[in-house]
Amino acid sequence: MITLQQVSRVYRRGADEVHALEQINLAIPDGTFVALMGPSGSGKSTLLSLIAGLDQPSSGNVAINGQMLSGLSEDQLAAWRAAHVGFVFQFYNLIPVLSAAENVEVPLLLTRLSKAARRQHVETALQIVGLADRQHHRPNQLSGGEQQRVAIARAVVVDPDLLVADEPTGDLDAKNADDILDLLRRLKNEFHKTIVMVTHDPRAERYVDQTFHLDKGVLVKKEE
Amino acid sequence: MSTWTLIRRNLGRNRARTVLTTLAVAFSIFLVCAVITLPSVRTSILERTMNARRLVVHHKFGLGYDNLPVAYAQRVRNLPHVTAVTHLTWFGGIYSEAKDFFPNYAVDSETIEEGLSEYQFDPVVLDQFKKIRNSALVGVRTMEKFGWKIGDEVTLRNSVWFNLSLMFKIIGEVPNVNPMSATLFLFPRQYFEEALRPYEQFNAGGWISMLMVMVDKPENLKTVITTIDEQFRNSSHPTLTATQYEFTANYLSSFDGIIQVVMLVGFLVVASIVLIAANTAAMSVRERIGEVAVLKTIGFRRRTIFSLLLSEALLIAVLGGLLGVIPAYVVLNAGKSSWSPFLGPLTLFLMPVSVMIQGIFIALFVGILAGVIPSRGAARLNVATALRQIA
Ligand SMILES: Nc1ncnc2c1ncn2[C@@H]1O[C@H](COP(=O)(O)OP(=O)(O)O)[C@@H](O)[C@H]1O
Ligand SMILES: [Mg+2]
Repeated sequence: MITLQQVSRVYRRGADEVHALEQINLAIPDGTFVALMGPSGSGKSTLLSLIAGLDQPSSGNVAINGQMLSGLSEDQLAAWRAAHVGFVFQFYNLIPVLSAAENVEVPLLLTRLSKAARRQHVETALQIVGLADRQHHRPNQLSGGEQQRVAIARAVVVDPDLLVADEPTGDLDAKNADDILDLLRRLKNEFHKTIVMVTHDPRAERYVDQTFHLDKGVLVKKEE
Repeated sequence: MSTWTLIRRNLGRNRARTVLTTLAVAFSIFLVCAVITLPSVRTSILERTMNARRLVVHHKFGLGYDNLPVAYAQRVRNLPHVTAVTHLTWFGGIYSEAKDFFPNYAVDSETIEEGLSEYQFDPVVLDQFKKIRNSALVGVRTMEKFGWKIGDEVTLRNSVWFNLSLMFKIIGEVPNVNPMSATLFLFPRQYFEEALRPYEQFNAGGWISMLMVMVDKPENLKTVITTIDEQFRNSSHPTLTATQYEFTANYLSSFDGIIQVVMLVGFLVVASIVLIAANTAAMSVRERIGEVAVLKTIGFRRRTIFSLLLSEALLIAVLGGLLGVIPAYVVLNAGKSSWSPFLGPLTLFLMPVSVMIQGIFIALFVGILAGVIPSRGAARLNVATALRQIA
């Protein structure tokens, strides 16, 4: 369960204050796939960073499965992310000098798993995303859709409870976007991941359980 | 895969840059080793030319000021504690051009063996040297320089002694016993005096440049020095006597300024390599700031990122250090090897193992100086801000 209580995030830009988020109250049950939508600059990425433990709110509380994130030090947050959160970005952000399998293995470098166990995890993750046959390819030898699937494999390889994705289909064509959305839904259905996805993609609504709309840092709930 | 794989692959990312940076470090460390070893050139010249029982006598106001009467040799020979005396006379001959300087002396063929005992002249060659009127013994380096070989006849011009031109027949080599010996050109004084006979009215054949005096025991050196200089103090040609060590050290001290300048330049080179390496490290980190942000997002801690990036810089530095230090050790110890005659002044360097270790440490220091700031900057990156720039 993800719960946000009275969460605000204020950025200071010189003398100005930017209220990126104001008084957000939000609850996302485990095993749901939710979309965050809203115009550019409405605070979607900021909200995602708070949920994923990349940033701390200016006020209010963020708790994930009972773990209060506020008050954790930078290193504690890093350790928490390593164990509990998988990340997917718009531009994949794979390491170009590593093969697909090696990219997927990167988060496992932070664990105490044996070499064999790590290889097993990597293989499983690549199988889930359907790229077992591409494991020795470098990112530049893969299509955008394939790179994003490698990135998803990297996100799930440590078996986190929570997946966060910031516009994961933003750089993909319709066919590939559908594949990625389908894959994310499958991760929720088959592996009970909680998934929070920032998106502009109207197609997403067919795949998610719930959509939250943000506007100027405020949550506007639309009933469907 | 391991963290090590990540470091290695990152170094392979821009191979040309990695190789060039490594070579730059290697080159500068090589230079640093040479610079650190430079003062040893002095020491090794001193040690190799020094004979603990030898005194050198020349004019009180310097070797270049005036000569000494040849008769001094016999007078010094008669002093107590003196076991051998020979003398050398600076001829100042040149072969082709004035800049092709090499030391050539008229020597006393009868006393040279006992006076310069460490040369261990070949008795057969020495016998010829005494018999053949215009014979010459030449050090290997001078032979090579002019492409001479034994049996050649060569003519030296000179402007010190009435513009004499003398023709010599090379009958052998000067034994290569010290850095000086390889450049020497020695010929019998007899021939020199004959050539000066037309100028007898000036007593042209009656002068020598210096005396080489052997003393029975090192502890008597002081007494003999005083005795010699006392003896000639009030003569028309007073003397200055010094141990060979002092004599050579004094001669070499004229190079101290040059040595200091060379050392300064050497260290400036290292400083500029540090700056270049720092810029390279900063560039390679900046290019990857997105990846660093991703690693941090995934949960890599500051410390891990910092060590990951710094390791790259240190690896290049140590590799470059090794590539500088090992050739330096080989080249700067070449004097000990069999091919030393071909290496000229390089053979005077004596690089100890400790300089290798210093070189590696300097390389490490270069790596740290170059790597710390960019690696620290990347490690402290604010993830949320960085992701905003890349995503
Ligand atoms: N690090 C920051 N410093 C200052 N202002 C920021 C920073 N990050 C975001 N903002 C501002 O906060 C608001 C919300 O940004 P963001 O969460 O990125 O919106 P979205 O993802 O919906 O486009 C924007 O006005 C943005 O300019
Ligand atoms: Mg955004």
